[in-house]
Amino acid sequence: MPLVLTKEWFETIRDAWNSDPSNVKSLEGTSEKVLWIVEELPLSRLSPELERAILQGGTIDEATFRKAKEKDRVELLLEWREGRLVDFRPAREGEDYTARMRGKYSVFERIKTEEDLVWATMDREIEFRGRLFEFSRRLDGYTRFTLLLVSKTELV
Amino acid sequence: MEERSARERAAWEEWIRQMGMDKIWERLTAINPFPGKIPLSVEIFTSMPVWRHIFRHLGMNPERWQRLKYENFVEWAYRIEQAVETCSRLLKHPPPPHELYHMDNLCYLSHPPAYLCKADVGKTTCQMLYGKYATVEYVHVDDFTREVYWILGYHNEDGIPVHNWLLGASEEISQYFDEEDEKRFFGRMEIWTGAPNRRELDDRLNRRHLRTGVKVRDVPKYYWDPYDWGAGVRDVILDLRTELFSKWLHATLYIAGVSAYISTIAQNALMSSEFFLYVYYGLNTSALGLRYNLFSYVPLPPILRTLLSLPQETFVKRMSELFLGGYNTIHKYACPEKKIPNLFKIRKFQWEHGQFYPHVKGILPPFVLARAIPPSLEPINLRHYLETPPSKEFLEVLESEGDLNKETGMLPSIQETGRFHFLFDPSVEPLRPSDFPPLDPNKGQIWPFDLTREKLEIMVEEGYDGSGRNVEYYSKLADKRMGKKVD
Repeated sequence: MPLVLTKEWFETIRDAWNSDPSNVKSLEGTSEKVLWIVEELPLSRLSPELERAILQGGTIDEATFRKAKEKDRVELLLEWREGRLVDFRPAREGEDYTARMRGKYSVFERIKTEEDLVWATMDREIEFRGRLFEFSRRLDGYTRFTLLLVSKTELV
Repeated sequence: MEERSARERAAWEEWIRQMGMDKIWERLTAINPFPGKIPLSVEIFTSMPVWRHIFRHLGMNPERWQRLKYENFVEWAYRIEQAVETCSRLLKHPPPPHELYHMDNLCYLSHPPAYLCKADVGKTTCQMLYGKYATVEYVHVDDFTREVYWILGYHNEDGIPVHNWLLGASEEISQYFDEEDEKRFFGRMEIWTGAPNRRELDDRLNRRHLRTGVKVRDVPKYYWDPYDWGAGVRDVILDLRTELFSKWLHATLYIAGVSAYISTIAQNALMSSEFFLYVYYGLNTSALGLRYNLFSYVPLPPILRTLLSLPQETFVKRMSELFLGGYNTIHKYACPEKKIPNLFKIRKFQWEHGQFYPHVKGILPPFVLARAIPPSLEPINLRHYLETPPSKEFLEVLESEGDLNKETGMLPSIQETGRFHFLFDPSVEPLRPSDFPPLDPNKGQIWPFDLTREKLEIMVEEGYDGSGRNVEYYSKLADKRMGKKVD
């Protein structure tokens, strides 16, 4: 059963973030909304039977799933307040954010250290749009979130 | 001056911290030979993508760093020697018109010896830049220790270098001298003056300024900007010239200051148009949003001041016209691979990946490079870079990726957008190394400034080999076949 974009997926990641004090500490003092765009999730490889089963399960918003599959990307909205992840859900059309991260899932999968994130960002494999100062201060937090996102994502 | 320098240095350090550049540099350990230390001009690594990859490819460590410093030094020195020989040959045997731009007839009679030019043009522009008689000494500074590690230059009479003068070199680089180097740098030859031995070369860097008491080697520790380095060492070099070369006292003494990273980037630019872009950024650093200079001339030749007030695109075009008759060279090395293996690795990497890898895969044509829009650390107007308005496709990129304000022409800074990449006109396809004839790094190649993939393919198909022989003919032939109007 794929565990991505389901209600459980969003909740698991949010809870996992907040339950680890070192995660919260890594973004201590941070209050921001980040639009996190993940491209090329291999949703298109799901068999029609599996897709039907997922949608009938009712744990996933059908419109979000179909849009993600059609555009081959998901737009996630994360809101951190004082380092705690208070909101994590699909982004709404035209929603405001303070910073944006965008990259292919395979690139996020490769990120293991802050150094990897810096190289991927400077090489434009991950595109960061936001204030440079904030990016550099939040490298630890963004890396931790990337690792969490990938570790909690099961696609097949 | 020391007080001002201390203030400026503190302001720079604060600025680096404010931007978070120190934190980014900490994570670029793969290119830092001295982890924990922040080099001079650390900001350049945010905007020079290929150089991050080149330094990672070379594998930076303390030993590689010293070796790279030596290779830059020795290539620099032999370029001047090669330029003198080329000039002397061409004075005796002027080339026929179809060989005017042959790569064997182009030399580094440039200032600094980092871009190729025609010997006659080099002679004239040298006089235009410095006057009839000039001694020019280049002061190179280690980005990490902030110490001067070599001072090398030449004396020009009537625009031609007539004598090379190695004033000082630290033992960090002289340890790599081979027999050929020792012949030139220890002792005296007809066109070379060095010092009797390694120790003396190193010791000269300990010469102190009579008033300030600061050693030449330590000047960059006290003075912040490359302009101030020049001012800090000039008096001592003047004294040494009086001692050693009193016959040159009639000439103006120019000092140029540059750090190891900057000189590595500038001296190893793949193409002449790319080098001119770097000159623009080095002396007109507001184009990158830097608050100090990356390179200095003390005093600054007035003509450079005039040229630098032009937009970037105009500057690159004018320099290409002035020095290379509107052509663009792929630079050649004066030393063989055995002597400069790391520089050869750099050239191979650039040639295979292009000048702005990984943001652009392929070699950018000169006229596209001239219109490059760099990421700037301060907000800046598009007019600073472009001579003519961008194409529709380019404008779209500038708006979507550069956040260009179409009404005012203002581009926001990296600090606001986090944009680390240059923006280029997407309507022109990058060139591929396989499109060109095979490149010999010791020979280089020359091509028209308006080179496109189509033009390159036609020229090669018609038999042009990149050497410069009949380049004008092949260029016009290609233009004709492409339906362009030809004179």
